[in-house]
Amino acid sequence: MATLNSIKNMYGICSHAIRQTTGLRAAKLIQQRAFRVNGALRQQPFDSSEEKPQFPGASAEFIDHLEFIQPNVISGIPVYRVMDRAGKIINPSEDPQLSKEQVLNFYQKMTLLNTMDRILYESQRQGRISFYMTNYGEEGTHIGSAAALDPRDLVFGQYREAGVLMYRGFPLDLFMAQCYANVDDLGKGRQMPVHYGSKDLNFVTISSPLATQIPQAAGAAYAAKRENTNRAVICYFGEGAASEGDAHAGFNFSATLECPLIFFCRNNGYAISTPTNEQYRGDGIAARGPGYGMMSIRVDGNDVFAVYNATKEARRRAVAENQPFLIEAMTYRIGHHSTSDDSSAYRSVDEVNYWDKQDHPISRLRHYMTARSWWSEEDERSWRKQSRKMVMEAFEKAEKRHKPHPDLMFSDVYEEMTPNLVKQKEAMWRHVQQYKEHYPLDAYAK
Amino acid sequence: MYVVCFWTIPCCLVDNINRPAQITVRYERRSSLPAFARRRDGHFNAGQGKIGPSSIQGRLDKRLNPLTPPTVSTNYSPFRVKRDAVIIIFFLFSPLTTAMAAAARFLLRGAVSKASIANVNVGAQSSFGITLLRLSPNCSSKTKTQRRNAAHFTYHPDPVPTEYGPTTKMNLFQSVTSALDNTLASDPTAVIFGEDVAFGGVFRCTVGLRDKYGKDRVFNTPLCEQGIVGFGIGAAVAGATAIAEIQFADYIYPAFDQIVNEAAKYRYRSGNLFDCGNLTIRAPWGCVGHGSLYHSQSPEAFFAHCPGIKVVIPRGPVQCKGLLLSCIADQNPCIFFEPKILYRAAVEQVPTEAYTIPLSQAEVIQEGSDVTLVAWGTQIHVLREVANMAQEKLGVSCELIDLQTILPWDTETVCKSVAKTGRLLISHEAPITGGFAAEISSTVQEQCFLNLEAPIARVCGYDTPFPHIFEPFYIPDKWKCFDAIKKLISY
Repeated sequence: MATLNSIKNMYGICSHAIRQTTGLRAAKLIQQRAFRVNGALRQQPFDSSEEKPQFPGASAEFIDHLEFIQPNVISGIPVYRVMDRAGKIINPSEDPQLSKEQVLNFYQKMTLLNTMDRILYESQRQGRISFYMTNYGEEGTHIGSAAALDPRDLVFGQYREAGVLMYRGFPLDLFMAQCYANVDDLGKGRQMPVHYGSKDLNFVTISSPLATQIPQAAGAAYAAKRENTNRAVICYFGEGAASEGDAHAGFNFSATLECPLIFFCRNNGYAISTPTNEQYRGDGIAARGPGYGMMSIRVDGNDVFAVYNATKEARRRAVAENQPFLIEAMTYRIGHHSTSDDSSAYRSVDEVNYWDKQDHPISRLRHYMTARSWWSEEDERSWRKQSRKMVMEAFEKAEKRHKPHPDLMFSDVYEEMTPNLVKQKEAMWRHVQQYKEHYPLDAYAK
Repeated sequence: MYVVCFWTIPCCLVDNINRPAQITVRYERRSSLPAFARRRDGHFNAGQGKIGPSSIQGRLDKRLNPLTPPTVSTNYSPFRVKRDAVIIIFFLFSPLTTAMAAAARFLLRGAVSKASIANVNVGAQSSFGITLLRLSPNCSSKTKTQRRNAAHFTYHPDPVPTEYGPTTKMNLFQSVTSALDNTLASDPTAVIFGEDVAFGGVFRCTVGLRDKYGKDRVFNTPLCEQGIVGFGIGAAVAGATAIAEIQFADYIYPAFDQIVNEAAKYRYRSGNLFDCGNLTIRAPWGCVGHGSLYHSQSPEAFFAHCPGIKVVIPRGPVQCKGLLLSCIADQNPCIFFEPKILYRAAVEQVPTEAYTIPLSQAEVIQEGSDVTLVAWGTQIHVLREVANMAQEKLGVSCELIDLQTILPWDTETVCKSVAKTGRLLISHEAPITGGFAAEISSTVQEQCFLNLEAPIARVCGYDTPFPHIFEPFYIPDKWKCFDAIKKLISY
């Protein structure tokens, strides 16, 4: 298929680039090594007769002059894209040629997410919810990857993947319920906003510690492999979380244990205020993949079709060949890190405006649609009104609901309620009954 | 081997069958050889200038005070060379020397196989090393106090259980293997993983399981504890029964975040949508005689502070298998600490079929009326002896309780006992400050304040890292516990 060729070509491009920068005999070896590094490295059977390294750890070839391999920071792994910034398909054979319904669905999900983000961000500013994180600029990574998966595939997220859940059909009411921590929250009001989870939609509940989900995804993929039901696992994380030890653990385990897993890194340029040049010195996250013996690719995260193509192929091969794939989606975090952050403290407004106006996944897809006359100004206006109405209705409804019953503070610590928790719960109620005027009981379910 | 036997009589002394053997060799004087084999000119008499003493007393003196090693003179006449050669050849092939060599080889082999806990190098290096040790002039015989100590406890096996079916003799690590075998046989989703589990494990807990159940079910992971536990959590979330092995409890800390922030909170934070109840983490635990800082730790107190996980510690093979199977079946993430000093030392008749022992239920091993003793793991056996000593020497009747589950712990059994006796002694190897004895002590004084006749005693390790050579002074041995009981009684 066309994408396969382009992936193979990429290695050719890579090694060509390496050859140019090093310009020595060693470059040829690197090129050869680059191809051999793909696929699982097996321990060679010991053979003392050959004039060849027999080390169990690695057995490439001997070299007789001192040469350090240069990390190819300058050229780097190229970025795969299907559309240009104006939404025009560059290589027609790469166009996934999705139907009008599918593309419209992509667009509507991305814009609905955007609308929900605006309203919930505002609601935090007005003191209605305690905290919120927007997804501005990264909608393409969510929708493109979610569309390429099977609904049964298990998703482990970080915290900026609400679009994946939205694409799968998580209702606005439940997004709001979690943010308001009201009685409808599936999480029973125990976590901060944006820590969504859904068993029905195979989206594992978000947790705040970064990168902890990465080795967990490897374990889940291993279990899925043993189940033998053609189920894949996808694990999202940011380029900052990829610096955690858990990320290294997850990559290494998934490669050595041959797990059907897609690692999806959203490289959005910032980890709160830390830019990428302070996060890593190598060529991003995709360049780490070969170090683990993993298939890797870098894509334009603002191009929903590129994300879709890469994820679709990675998913197919991960399940067929039982090996992990690493996709690094380059994008930009247009919004602040969260409602607790003001990014003008560490980046210029001009930089943000560039990405908002010139290279946004929503506008690029819209140009693609308008070029095919699938979407008009009229459609845009009416959809904007409708989506806003949907979000506002869910929002107002969620605001009025009660909070969950305080007994739920004590359940689910263990599967069963333990004796000491029963005692503590009774002690709490005795206290609250005595001092009830100091506790906001009215807001909570009876 | 023969040459060595001729010049010395190697006494491969293994004093105590319990400790991993290190061969001590005593050099016997050449004067202990038959008279005709001794030279008359005195050159073979090390450092004394005289012929080897003919009196038995003299010989004994020399034997007991072998401060200088035998030296070899080089003054040979042709006659003496020929005569000596005959003697040498005679002894080389005599039945006596053959027998001595065979005995030495037997003891060497036995010593090598016992050395597994200390991970002594075996194979090509060791026989050379051992020979070098014997011939080394500085390797004089050690006096009694320099030898490695015997274990600080005597293992008391449980009575043979009759309610779980046929039993067979097993030690602790074999009871673990048996539990894992039962699990892999009955649960097709069960997988066992960790460092070095494939070949059987550094403590032989997983021997034979990979061959029996397949390499997709019993497999090695890369060397990364945070990865092992994270992987285990994910496998459990996806529905598999995940049994993770951490090679030593001392190395569990890289996984602390995954255990405390993730495993313990999975069910709660997701509103019971997701959980990792199928996860069990096993780790060798506690002092072993020579483990030092990083092979002796008892980290149960760190995890006792974490709601959402269970922490379980058995005292012997029967409890181990039952409690481990309970942990595996339990729908909460469990940490199962296995006292490594008991892996071989603890031998009992253990049921071959699967059975469970309930979690969060402390066991009253011995009833008594004067003092309540609470401990877990190896320390139970120390306290058993202390209870006997207290009965014999002080006439004090002790009630001994094995807590078994550290979290959530059985407050009712302990408080009921203290309400009866009025005195409590809690003992553990872990450092005293912030150790689990502090939690028990605090709860008991809250609930049984007016029943107490004396302050609650905690006999624990000192607030230092676990030392190597000072272990005999560090551990809460029977004398420290006995002394604490004396103080409790006479308060």
